[in-house]
Amino acid sequence: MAPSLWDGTLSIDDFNASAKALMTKWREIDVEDSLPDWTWKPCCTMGVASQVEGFLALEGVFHTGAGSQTEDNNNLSDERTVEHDTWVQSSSDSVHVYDFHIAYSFSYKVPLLYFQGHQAGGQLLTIDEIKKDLPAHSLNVLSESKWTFITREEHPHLSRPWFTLHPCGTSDWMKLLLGKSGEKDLCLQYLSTWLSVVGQAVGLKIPLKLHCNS
Amino acid sequence: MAAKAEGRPRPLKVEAITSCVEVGFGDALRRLKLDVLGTDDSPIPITGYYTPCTHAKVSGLFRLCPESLVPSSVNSFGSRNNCPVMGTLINTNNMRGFQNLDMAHLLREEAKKILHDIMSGKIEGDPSLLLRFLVISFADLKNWKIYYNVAFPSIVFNSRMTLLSLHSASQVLSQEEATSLSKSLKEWRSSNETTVLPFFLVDISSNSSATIRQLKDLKDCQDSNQKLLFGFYDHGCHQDYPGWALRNYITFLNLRWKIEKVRFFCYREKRGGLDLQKSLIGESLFSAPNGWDDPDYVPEAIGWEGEKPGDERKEKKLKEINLESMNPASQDEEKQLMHLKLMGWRHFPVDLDKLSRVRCLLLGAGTLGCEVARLLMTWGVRKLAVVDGGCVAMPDLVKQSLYIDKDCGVPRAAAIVPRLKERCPAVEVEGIQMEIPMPGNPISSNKIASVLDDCKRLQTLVASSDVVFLLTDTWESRWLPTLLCANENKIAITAALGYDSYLVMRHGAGPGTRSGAMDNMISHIQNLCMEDALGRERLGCCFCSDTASIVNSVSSGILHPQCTTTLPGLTSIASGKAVELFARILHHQDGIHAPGDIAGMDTEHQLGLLPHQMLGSLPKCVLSTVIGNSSSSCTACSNAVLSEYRRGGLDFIVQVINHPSYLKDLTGISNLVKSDLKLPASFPSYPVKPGKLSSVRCLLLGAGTLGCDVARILMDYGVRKLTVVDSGRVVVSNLARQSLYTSDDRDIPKATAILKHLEERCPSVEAKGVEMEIPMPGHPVSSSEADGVLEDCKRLQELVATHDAVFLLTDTRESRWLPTLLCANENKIAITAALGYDSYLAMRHGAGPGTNSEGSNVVAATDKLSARDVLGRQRLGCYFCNDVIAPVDSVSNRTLDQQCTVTRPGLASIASGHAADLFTRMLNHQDGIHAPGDIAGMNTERPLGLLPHQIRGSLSQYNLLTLLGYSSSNCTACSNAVLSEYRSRGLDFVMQVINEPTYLEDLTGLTNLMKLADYSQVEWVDELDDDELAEI
Repeated sequence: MAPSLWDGTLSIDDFNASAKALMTKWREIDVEDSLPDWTWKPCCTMGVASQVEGFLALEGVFHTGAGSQTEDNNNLSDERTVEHDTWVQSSSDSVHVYDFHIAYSFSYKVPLLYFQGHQAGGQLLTIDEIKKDLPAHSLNVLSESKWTFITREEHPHLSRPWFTLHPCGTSDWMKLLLGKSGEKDLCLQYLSTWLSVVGQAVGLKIPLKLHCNS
Repeated sequence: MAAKAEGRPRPLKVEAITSCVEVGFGDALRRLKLDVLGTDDSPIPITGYYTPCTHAKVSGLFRLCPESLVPSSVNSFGSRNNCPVMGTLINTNNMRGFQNLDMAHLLREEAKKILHDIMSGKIEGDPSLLLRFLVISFADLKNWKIYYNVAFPSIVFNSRMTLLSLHSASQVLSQEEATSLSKSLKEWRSSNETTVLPFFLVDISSNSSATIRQLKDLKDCQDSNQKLLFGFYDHGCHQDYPGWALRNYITFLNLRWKIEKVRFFCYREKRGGLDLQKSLIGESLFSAPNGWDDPDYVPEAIGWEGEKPGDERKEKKLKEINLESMNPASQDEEKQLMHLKLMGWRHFPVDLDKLSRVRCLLLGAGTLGCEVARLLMTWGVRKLAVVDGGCVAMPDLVKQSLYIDKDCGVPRAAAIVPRLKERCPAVEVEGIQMEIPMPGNPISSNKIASVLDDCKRLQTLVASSDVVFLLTDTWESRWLPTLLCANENKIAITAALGYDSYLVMRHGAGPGTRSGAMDNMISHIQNLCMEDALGRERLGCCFCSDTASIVNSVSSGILHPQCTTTLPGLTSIASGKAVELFARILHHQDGIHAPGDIAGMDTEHQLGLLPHQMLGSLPKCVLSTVIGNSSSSCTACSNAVLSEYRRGGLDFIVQVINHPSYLKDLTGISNLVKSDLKLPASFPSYPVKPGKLSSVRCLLLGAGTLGCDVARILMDYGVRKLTVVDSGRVVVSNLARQSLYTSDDRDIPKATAILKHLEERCPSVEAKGVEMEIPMPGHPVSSSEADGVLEDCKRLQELVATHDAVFLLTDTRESRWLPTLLCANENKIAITAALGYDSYLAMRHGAGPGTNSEGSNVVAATDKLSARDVLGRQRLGCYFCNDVIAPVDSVSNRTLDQQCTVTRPGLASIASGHAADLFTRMLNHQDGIHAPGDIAGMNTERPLGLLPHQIRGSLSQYNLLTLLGYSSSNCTACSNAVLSEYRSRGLDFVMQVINEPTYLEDLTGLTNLMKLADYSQVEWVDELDDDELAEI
């Protein structure tokens, strides 16, 4: 397939290869300390892990709200005299935990970003709560671009509803971004390039290096 | 950093662990409870996932996820940041059970387990046991919520554990040591075997090289030249405090290894490796008091999450998970099926999978068709095809339960589809409009083609279905489907109505082919056996005992007169039984080949008996089960007919249609004498006086399953003045069972929603709705609620006084008490319908007591209640007369399947039919409420037949009992003791009963009775429970 004729989609095999490339690259480059690594989760049918199908997961991305425990340790340094044993509360009340999954969409032949956030205690965040966590530029992206809108859909492998960025248009702008690369790069670079775009919309801090050719 | 920690020793203070209970865990628990645990509330082992701190500013969370509930024997989930930890889950059956848990005691028991593991040496093998945790929860399946608390038990030290020093690891370790440690830890963390072990030993030799070892390898680092650190994964991120895990670690080190002064190392991570800045090294001093190593020692413990330091033992804040965030569509479907799953808790496991896959073909979408279709959905059937040739007509609306005024003129096959979908969106319904070709109804040559088409369509439909219901209103339209089912060996169920009697039967299996026969067409046609494919004698079809054959019954009136005149309650009863029969066949191992059972037989099958035919009669109050084998001269399923059909195909069918005598000649029955018909062919004139019924004012207490059905059937009888009382709102799970409501009614009060549905079926009905809770005895109310409850009592008083008949259709025993009392006091007709799991009760309460002094004033009337009614007859009993305990709060302590009493679908229809029928019989009896109770088998000359006092039936036993019980002088609702107290004190008395659970028993002498008679009460109560009343 000549790059010029490429329609911006990728096959499941390309997706899997690209996913491996992304995991490796992510480990090599200097991402923010608190970001975990991407891991590959094979999807299970009847308890047997699939060889082919699976999804990428970046789980446990913490978002610390303004005025969180980072600065004020007042409550902790408060030496209270108590009769029994003493311990301090873990003050993770204002912490939100996000999980990001990248799965392959067979109908659009593009990767699909699923995400959800929950409070430290486990209760899921609503879309309004999530929007409050997003940096201003993400909100801009969401409100200005036509292709990025958040919907809530059933996670293809977990059968619970997750938030997702709608994949329509993905192939078009991917074609613009990668249309000039050689075929080999194309499949390996796909996810890194794609992620550096969609990551912005959901407040994921993607290092610039991820997109750059190494 | 950590500057404060230097200098003076201080009591050790640690950072508590925060649990992160994922929604997925809640959902997995919900499913486990519903599908597996049932009523079992014993503790179960679960797995939690612990992690060292990985973030600069956020402490690690202790995760509970869906994998947590997978038994540890098959659970392989676990990774470097998910170290599996053993825990215990106690999931209670109800909120009260949850609140009654002794949290302090449970925590001590867990702490004791930890002590035990320390002393027995188990910790060395599995160090994560030091982190043992406890979860208590209540999974509120009905409201999709999980309430829970989590504890990380630790023993109380009373400040005896001292922290001597605490520093960042970077300050303590030399450069070389740090590099070596970092490298060793990286290896430790990258090995699948060691990375999940949260406690370890750090052995730093004199040449600054660090080795990480498992706890069990302590002996390898006893060299005195070495520095030994006790390392553990620290979830916390604070520089001033180590994490919670250190507490039990130090206890272990002291008790097991007798180390008082511990050098510990808090391992914290950054980007998958050691974070030297954040990790801490400190020293603590602790000596366990004497006695902790005693195996019977029960330690004081702390560790409930949310407890604040210093104010433990206070009320804990309840945490909750809301599961409603799940996919709404699948959630609705699950809510609709929940009652079937609950059956599995105590009775028998419903094969939901099979039910959802089975394809049902319904022939006829009239009175029976509507009810059967709806009840099949209640059973979880999701694939329906409905065949009907007619259109909805105005007079049908009160009879055909699904249609409403808007449907008039629309073909039934089209109208029924949206009516079913609006009750259950998940159902797949196909409506096929066509007449079923009938034998002996000659067709003109120009119509031949279309009739042939119909035959072919029916062939295809039967072939693609698993079960066929024959619900048409003529005999001859059942012939072709019967033949096709016998040919294809499909389950066929017939329901047929007479005027006041019904027949429900399943057809036998088709014939097998003779063994050894070639697999060619000829043997397929000619070698039909007398037996079915299992070699058993074939049961009959609905034509087998009917030697009259089927020549145009519309004119000869075999089963029905021209237009279906049947007693209104009959449809509900027959449909309920037909669907019950269906569910039984489907769950029977032999399916269609199952032999017929007879009532009274013993059966080992969980579902109870599986009869062949059921015949019931309302006026005689009987239900009989009959077995009839396939007849060799049957016009529909005999081998003669079947081989002819296989040979001739549609040509044969056309011949049968065109030549009325063809079938008779073929089977040889034209020589036989016409035998008696099974169903009575007598049609008494409709004896119910419509005028009387249309003016009678009925009060329905409860607008649930029973309320909907009773209201509908009463309208069909001609009742036009209805008042419905209910306090609830329509929820999704109601839609399948409560026949009148649709998805549009969600969250609308039932008392409002039902009015619209009654009016759209019968414009002339005068229906009123009252939204209120019926005050219940033994449910103490606070002073702020008292006014409202008093108001409700007054309203109910007034409602009973202004109506002629009261139907008690609520779902708890106790809510029937006040209405029963009021009816006895006012001498009003009261009818109770109540459901157990597979038994039902329909009864009329006896008349109120008469007075001894004649024509006296009110005061005299109060004290001189007679033991007999005003006609001087012995009073019949009320719903409470047999009870030896007063009604009190029966709900809070129960498991979910008892709270929303699980009943078999169809039972409510049957009970409603009997209740409404009982009512009309009573109304037409000359003595009305004073009529004595009849018993089945008695002779009566009244046109309507017997008027029993109570009808009790059991689905699994196929019996129908008529019982007679007189009013008890100890009755808590209708005895003179209670009534005179009510007459003299009015609502003060009622309020006292509501607030004092034992007051009624004292008043009626039940308390004394129970003290005197030393009976084994347990059995009694159980029996009563069985009749405990259903979700309305």
